Amino acid sequence: MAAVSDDILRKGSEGRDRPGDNAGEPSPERWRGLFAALAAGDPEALEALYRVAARRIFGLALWRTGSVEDAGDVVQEVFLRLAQKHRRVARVRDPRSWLLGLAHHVAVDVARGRTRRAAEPLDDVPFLRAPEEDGARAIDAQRASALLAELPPAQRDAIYLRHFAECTFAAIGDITGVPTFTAASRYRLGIERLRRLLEDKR
Amino acid sequence: MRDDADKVEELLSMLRPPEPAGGLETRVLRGAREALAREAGRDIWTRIWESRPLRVAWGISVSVLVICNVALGGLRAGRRGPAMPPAGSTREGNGELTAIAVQPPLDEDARPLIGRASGLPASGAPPAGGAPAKTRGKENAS
Repeated sequence: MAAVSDDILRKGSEGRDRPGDNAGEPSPERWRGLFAALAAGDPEALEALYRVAARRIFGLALWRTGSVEDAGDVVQEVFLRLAQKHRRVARVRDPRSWLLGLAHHVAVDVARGRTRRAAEPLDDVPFLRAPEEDGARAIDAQRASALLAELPPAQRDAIYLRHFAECTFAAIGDITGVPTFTAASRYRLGIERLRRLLEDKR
Repeated sequence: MRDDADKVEELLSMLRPPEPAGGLETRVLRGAREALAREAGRDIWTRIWESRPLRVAWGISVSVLVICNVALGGLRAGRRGPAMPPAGSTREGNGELTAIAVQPPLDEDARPLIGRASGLPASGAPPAGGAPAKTRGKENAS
C-alpha cells in the first residue's frame, strides 16, 4: 500500500496530461489514486491534493465570493471536509469535479453567510493577474478584473470553470448543480456581456 | 461580433487567476491533518452515534412507528364497535357451513323437539296467538 501510495503521490504533482493552464493537472486515474490514498487515511495524500487542487479551488472561490480572505477560508473548509469525509471519497467517480463541486458549494455558503460584504464593490478584486511581470498585461488584468466584477457570480463561475479549469459544460453543470444547457447558456451570456462591456469601455 | 467574442476569450487566455497566499498551505494542511487524525481515531460505534444522517433516519423511523401505531389503534377501535355480526346471522348466512353443522334427520317427516322447525314457540317468545309478553309479565307478577 505504501509503495503504491508513494507512486501515486509522486505522480500526483508530476502528471501533465493537458497543455496550457491545466499543466500539472493529474489524469483521472491519478485523481482516483489520490482519493484512494486519502480514503486509506494517508495524510500525504492531503498534501498532494493541495498541490494539484488548491489553486483551482482558490480561484473558483475568489470568483464566487469576490474576496481573497473568503477564498482562503473556502480552501481551508474544503480540505477540512475532505479530511472529515475521507472514508467516503474512495467511491467518488470523478474526483476532480467532485472536489470543485464541494468548493463551489462551500463558496456559495460563505458568500451567503457574509451578506455585509455583498454591498461592497468588486472593482478592486484581482480576479485575474498577468502571468509574468509585464506592465501591459498587468493593465489588461486590471481591466478584465473590473469587467468580470460586473458579471453575476453564476456567469463568472461558468467562465472560470470553462476557461481556467477546462471543464466541459456537462462538468460545469455537475459542479454548479444545474443542467448542462443552463451551464452552457450562462457561459455564453457571460462572454456576451463581457464583450459588450469591453466595447462600452473603449 | 464573433471577433469581439474571440477578443474576450483571447484576453482571458492571456491572464491567470491569482494563486493562494503562501501561508495558506500551512494553515490548511495543519487543520486538515488534525481533522484526519481525529477522524481516523474514532471507532465505528462513535461514528454511528455521531452520524447526523443516522440520527435523522432513527428519528424518522420512530416517528413513522408512532404514527402507524396511533393510526392502526384508531382503525381497530373504529372497526370493533358496530360491525360485530351476531353468531346466528353468520351461521344462517353461510349455507355451506350450516349444511355441514346440521345433521340430516333419519326420518324425513320427523320434526325436532325444540327450535324453529319444531312448530312449538321458542323459549321466551310469545306462542302463536298468545298474550303479549307484557301481559304475561304482569300475570307472573300477580
